[in-house]
This record gives sequence, structure tokens and C-alpha cells, in this order.
Amino acid sequence: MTPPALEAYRASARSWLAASAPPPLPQDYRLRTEALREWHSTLYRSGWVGIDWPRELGGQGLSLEHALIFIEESARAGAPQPFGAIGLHVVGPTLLRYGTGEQLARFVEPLLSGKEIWCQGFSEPDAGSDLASLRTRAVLEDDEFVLTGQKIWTSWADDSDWCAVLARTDPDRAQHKGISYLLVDMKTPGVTVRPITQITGDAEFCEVFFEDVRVPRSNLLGPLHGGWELAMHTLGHERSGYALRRRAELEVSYRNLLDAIRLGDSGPDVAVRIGAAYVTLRGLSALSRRAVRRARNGEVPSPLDSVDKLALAKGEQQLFGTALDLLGAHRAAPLTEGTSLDGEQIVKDYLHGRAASVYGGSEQIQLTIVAERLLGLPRMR
Amino acid sequence: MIEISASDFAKEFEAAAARLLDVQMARTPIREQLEQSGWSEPLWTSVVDAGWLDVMLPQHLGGLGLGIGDVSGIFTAAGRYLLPGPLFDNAVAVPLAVGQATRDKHLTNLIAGRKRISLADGAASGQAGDSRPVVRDGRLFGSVDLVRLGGAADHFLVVVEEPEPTLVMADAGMPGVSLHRRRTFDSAAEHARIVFDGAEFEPLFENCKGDTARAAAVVAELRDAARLLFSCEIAGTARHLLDSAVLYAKEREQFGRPIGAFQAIQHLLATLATRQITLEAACEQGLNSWDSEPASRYVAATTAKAIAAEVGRVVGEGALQVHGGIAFTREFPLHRWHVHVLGLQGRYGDQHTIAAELGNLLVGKEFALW
Repeated sequence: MTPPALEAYRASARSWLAASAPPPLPQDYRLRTEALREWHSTLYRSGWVGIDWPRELGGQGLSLEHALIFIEESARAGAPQPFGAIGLHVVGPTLLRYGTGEQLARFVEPLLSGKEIWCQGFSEPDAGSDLASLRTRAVLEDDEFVLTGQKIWTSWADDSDWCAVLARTDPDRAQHKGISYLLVDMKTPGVTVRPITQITGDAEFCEVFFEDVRVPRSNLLGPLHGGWELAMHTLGHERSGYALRRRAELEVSYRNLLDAIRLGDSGPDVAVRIGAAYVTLRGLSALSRRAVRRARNGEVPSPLDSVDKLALAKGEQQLFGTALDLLGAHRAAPLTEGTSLDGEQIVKDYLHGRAASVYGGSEQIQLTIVAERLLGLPRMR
Repeated sequence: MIEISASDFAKEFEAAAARLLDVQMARTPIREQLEQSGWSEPLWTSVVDAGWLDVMLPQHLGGLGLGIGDVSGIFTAAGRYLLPGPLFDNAVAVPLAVGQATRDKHLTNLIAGRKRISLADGAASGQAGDSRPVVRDGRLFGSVDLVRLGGAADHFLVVVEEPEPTLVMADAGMPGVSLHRRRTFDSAAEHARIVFDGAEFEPLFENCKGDTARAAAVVAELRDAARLLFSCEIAGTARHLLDSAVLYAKEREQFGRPIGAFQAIQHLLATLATRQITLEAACEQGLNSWDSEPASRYVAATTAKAIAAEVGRVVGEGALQVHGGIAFTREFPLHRWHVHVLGLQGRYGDQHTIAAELGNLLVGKEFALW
């Protein structure tokens, strides 16, 4: 793809965004979710979702560079990203890589359009960082798996239509060798979702219970007992591809913060802090170009995904930590009068940001991956 | 590794530069000279003979007429091998200046005569504006501190600040120019303070309105280039520090196993690697956006320098920690790389001064963010 063609694409994205009035996002979680779903649908109808997905499956058949351009232009316009984050950036790429023709025909179009929202059933109460010790079981009976167990920290499960579930299908094999990757309809009898209220006050993540849930064998993604490789593929995308999107969201937050600072009186110390956060976000933008290059060359998963994940989490926490500090003594009880800063949003963002070094594999897990697989240091085990 | 999509040459130049430095820096006479004085004439001659100073030189002056992206690999290699020499000055500042000067004859002659030139820019050390060089009654007054390799230069490419920034040439040997060497901990970069007290000079631009704007634009470009290429040099130096620490962690044993098997060491090194890779990516971003409009060029080069300033220092400190007591000795050479990044950290602004500079721009007015 020639740079002029990409620049033309950027120009068309910019003018579309300028004409399309991105929705304001309400504080209330439920109302915000509705607004985001609507925005997802608008984006899809106009050809801005699935930009780098195959045309025959409902995508636009363009390159990842095009997709990155739209993400960047959305950030520039202050527009939110489409609602179905897990489907588009985490589970979706694995579906594309490992799905059969029938699975692709069934799942991709509604995933892209936002008609079906996905969640990711990986973590369990006793399987967090040690994901391979998961205990959710799926027993094959004729042409169905019977799924039993519990997942936790499942983001957006309450809003999801489908869940990518890791389940143990062969209890006799060593930890990561007996796991399969199942696509589970959340409306199946026996699936119970219980939202968990987070420190932010929102209930974005959930517990998910499976009690004798019957899953057709045709919903097995990839080989039977071979799900671990798929899980690593999904996590690789969560750590790098999702980072592209999250960076854009951080840039929108930064822009909002800066707009508020410009309205008020600020001293030189504010300039230094806001400048430092800007430098960090620019570093993330530089890393995202490398992530695109790796994806284009088929280098996912890679230990460099963990580098992106580590940098993104640090960047997010620095940005929202900086914003929090600007609230001064009003960190826990934000002012609503006499200030241009949206204190309530800042505190929520700060608290939400603490999850960035936990989800998708904790910071400590990522550091170990970098140490062992990128630097080649001796394994501890 | 820094990869630049816009250049086919950068990697080749970097590999060739590394090969040359690998051989030259291992030669006993050169090592002895560097240890004694921090300067080796044969080493610098080999760099000149290898054509490093010709990469960006315009073709009509016998150069290759290539750009910043192409030459950047040489800076990474120079950082990795701690090449002492006024590399930025002669390989980048001089070609940029001569390519755009409207009175270029004098500088063209100096280039043809292989004269050694050091850039004297008060902005490099953040020197107070009122002490920087000015022209009064047709003569040069003021001073520039921390001129790299000032003592080894025949001529100075001087940034004059008032009223608008412009560039002039001054002969190191002429009356009114005096040099005061600074004591330095950095074996790869001797520093000097240059004082101009009524010195004669050769302007590179005419004294007319069009030329004033042109000169100011060249000075801005030169400072962006300095920020970006010193970032590349820091990336090379820090890469050496990180690689050394990783290698040491694999070899050094305590408690019956390599120290790199301990999580405390692993996480320290992985954190450094994450920072280092971010720096290399920021250098790429700066190099790839070099030919965009001046505002984007400025932002990309400036953020790269802020990241380099912080990362170079942190990697140096972390590498020392991993090595333990041995790295605290003069005999073990790690300190040379560590101190070299300290020298570059503050050049054209460290992470704090740049954060303030960018922050004031961001808070003060509408400013293209990304």
C-alpha cells in the first residue's frame, strides 16, 4: 500500500468523523453501554469496523495500517471505539486464524456488526496467573460437550451473546495439554452471569457459572485438547492488538484532560506533568507501529506483545495518576464547582487504570515472559 | 534494533560502521590513545576515510546526498562502540548548513580541505540566552559551554542567537577565540568552553529578510536533528549496557545457579528491556516522520530525546546493579557507557526540561497533539 493511498484513507476517515458527531458518553454504566452499542452499529454501517478483516466475511479487506489510521483518527476526533472490544481485538483474531469455513460464516459478520458481543472465559477463581491449572470441564457426549465450572473477571459477560471458554477436555493430560477452546452461546440453559461491582462502582466484569451447559461439538475452535495454543494466540492479541485501541482511548482521555487544564489556571508544575504524560503516550504510539509491523508479518504471539502490554499499563497508570494528582486534596472527594476538571471521571479512570497491570496476564507474568523468552534468561522452574 | 521503513541504507551503514569500529577499537595503539587522552587521530581518520561524513553531504560537493534516516545507523553504532569524535557536527550539522546556506563558499572550502568542525550551540547545554554568542559591530562576542570535542576542532559552526538565530563560521586559531577545556568523566566526549571576544567570523546567510527566516529554519532543523540523532546514539549505548547486563546475568553464578534465574534479576532486566524497546521505537518514529512538516518533526524528535534521556540513564543504573561490585570499579569498563549516556542525557534537554517545554506548548495554545 502506497503512502498516498493511506493518506487519502486518513482524509476520508477524518471527514467522516467530523460529519458524524460521535456520541457523548454518559457516566452511568448502563447508559454508556447503550450509547457505545449504537456507535458500534453506526461505525459498522459506514464501513469503519473490521477494516482489516476479509471482505467476504463482512470486513473491508484493507490492511492493518488502514485499521490503525481509523483508530488514530477516532482518537483525534475524540470518538469512542466500537463497543465489542473483546470480539474485535481479542477473540476475533483467533477465530479468524483457527475457525472452519462454517464457523467463520456463522460468527464473523454478527461479531463485526456488533449484533453479537463476545466475552472471554479464561480466568477462574483458582486459575489466575496460573491459567493452565483451570478446572472448568467439558465432557464430550456424542456430538455435544457438557460444560461445568466457573469463570471470573469476565469483562462485559453480562452484555455478551457469546463467550470463548477455555475448558479441560482431557483431565489425564498434563496441565496445558488437555484444554479445548469452546464457543459458548450465553443464552444456553445452565449459563448464569453474576456482575461484580468494581472499585470504580461500575459492574463491567462478572462471574460466569456453567452447570451442565450443552455446547455443540461444531463450536469447538481448533483441535480437541489443542486449545492452549489458541489461548496464547488470543492473549497475544489482547496484549498487542488491543493495545492499539486502548492507546487511542488514552489519547482521548489525555485530550479531555488537556482541554480542562486549558480552561483553568495552571502553574508550571502542571505543564511539566502534562508534558511528561504526553511523552509517554508518544512512546506508546511508537510501539504501536511496531505492533502493526509484527501483525503484518504474522509474528503474533510474540514476547514483544508483553513489552507492549507492560508499556501500555505503565502509560495508562501514569496518565491517570497525573490527572488524579491535579485534583490535589480533592482526590477522594472531587470538586464539582469552581474547576474545569471532571473530578469524578478522573477518579474512576484512575481506579480503572489499576486493572491495566492485572488483566490479560499480570505485570509480573509479562516480565517473566520478557525475561525468559525475549532475553533468554534461565527458566526458574 | 532501530528499523526505519523509509531507508534501505540505514541498516547497511550501521552494519558497516559496527564492523569498522569493531576492528579499530580493538587496535592497541588506538586503545592506548583513547585511554590516555580520550582522542585518537587515526581512529577519526578511519571514520573520515570510510565516508561517514559524506553520507548527508550534497552530491555537488562529492557526497551521497542522503538523509537523517540513512545516517542514523551510524549514530547507533557510534553509541554502541563509544566512538569519540565530532560526528554529529561533521556528518549532520555541516551538511545541513552547507546545503541551505546562501553564503556557502567558505564552508565549502573547509569541507573540501577536510577541516574538522565543532558545532557551538548554547542550546545544547541549555545555557542562559544572554551569555550565548551575539554579533556586535561586525564581531562575535559571548561564549558557548560544553562544546563537544571543542579542543580537536579547527573551526566552529556557531549559532548566533540575536536577533533571530543564525549560523556563522569562526576559525579556532584566530584572535578573539579562546578555548577552556572542561574536566569530563566521559572518556568518549571531551568538552570545552569556547569564548568569543571580538572574533572575526564568516556568515553563512545574507543579512536580508528572506535569509533571516531561512537561517532560523535551518537552526530549528539542526536542533531537531541533534535531539533525534543523540537519541539514536543513546539507544546504541543503552543497548550495549542492557546486552552486557543480560549476558552477565546468564554467566554469573550465586547460590549454585546463574543470577539471571532469580526473579528479582529477571524482572529488573525485563523492565529495562521494555524501556529500551520503547526508546528504539521512539527513534524509529522520529526518523520515519523526519520529512513531514516541521511541527511533526519537532514533536517526534523532541519526544524521542525525552525518552532517550530517561531510558539511557535508567538502563545504565540497572546494568550497574545487575553487575554488582565489579561495575563499581574503573577497571571494569561498564562505567564508560554509563557515563556516556549521562553526558548525552542533558544535551538539548533531558526528560524534565523537555516535559516542561512540551507541557507549556500544550497548555498554552492549540497544538497538534498526534
